[in-house]
Amino acid sequence: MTSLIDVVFLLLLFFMLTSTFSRFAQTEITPPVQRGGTASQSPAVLAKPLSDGWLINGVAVSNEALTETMKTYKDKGAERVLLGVDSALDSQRLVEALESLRVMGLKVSISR
Amino acid sequence: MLRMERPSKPRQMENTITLINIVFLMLIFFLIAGTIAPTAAPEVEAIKTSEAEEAQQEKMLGIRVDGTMIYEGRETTAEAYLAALNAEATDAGEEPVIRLLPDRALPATELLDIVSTLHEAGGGKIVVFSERAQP
Repeated sequence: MTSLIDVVFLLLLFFMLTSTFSRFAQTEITPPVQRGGTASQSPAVLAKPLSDGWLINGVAVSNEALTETMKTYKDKGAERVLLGVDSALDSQRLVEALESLRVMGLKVSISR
Repeated sequence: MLRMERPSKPRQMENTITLINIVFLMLIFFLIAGTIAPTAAPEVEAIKTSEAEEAQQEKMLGIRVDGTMIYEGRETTAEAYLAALNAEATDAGEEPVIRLLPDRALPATELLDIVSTLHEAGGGKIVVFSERAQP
């Protein structure tokens, strides 16, 4: 009986110490398009994520108002978004921006 | 005198059985709830997301804040990583997918530079891994 407990305790310790509970997610990323490159097929919205908020076609928009703003552009026929990236942006914000735009069903290309 | 000694024995048995029950339950919990996988790069603090599609943790190329890359615990370069990835994909007979795990503080332009380099070097699909926030 005691040997059984020993083994079970060892197994428990092993699994407690090795297991990780973090779950991962993935986002596809495309290499940035060159400035003045290929001609666009449909009108694109220029979106520039800032550290807090956005610049949509040059107009400052808060994170909360983004869905609504993009919806109005979508209704006008915009399907693509050109995501402007500068050196002040970090990876966290870039990936956040990418997925929040993709959730709305927009095609995102990155420009720099 | 003899009577005094007897009652203590069965009680001990009972204790061990409840103990085993609890330990077994904990064991089963950790077996099911946890996943055993080597951490890609312990010094990389993954990006946190809430909306991206969930994915299985697989072999990832960690990118530290300073832009250096780490793969399977060793420092590497984009070329060396691609060569290793392509060799593995050919062995398994599947399309190679580049899985990046950048540090959340890595400048976005540096991340895009790495993505461009990997794309030009012949990489196929490129995905960025992030840690999914617990609901």
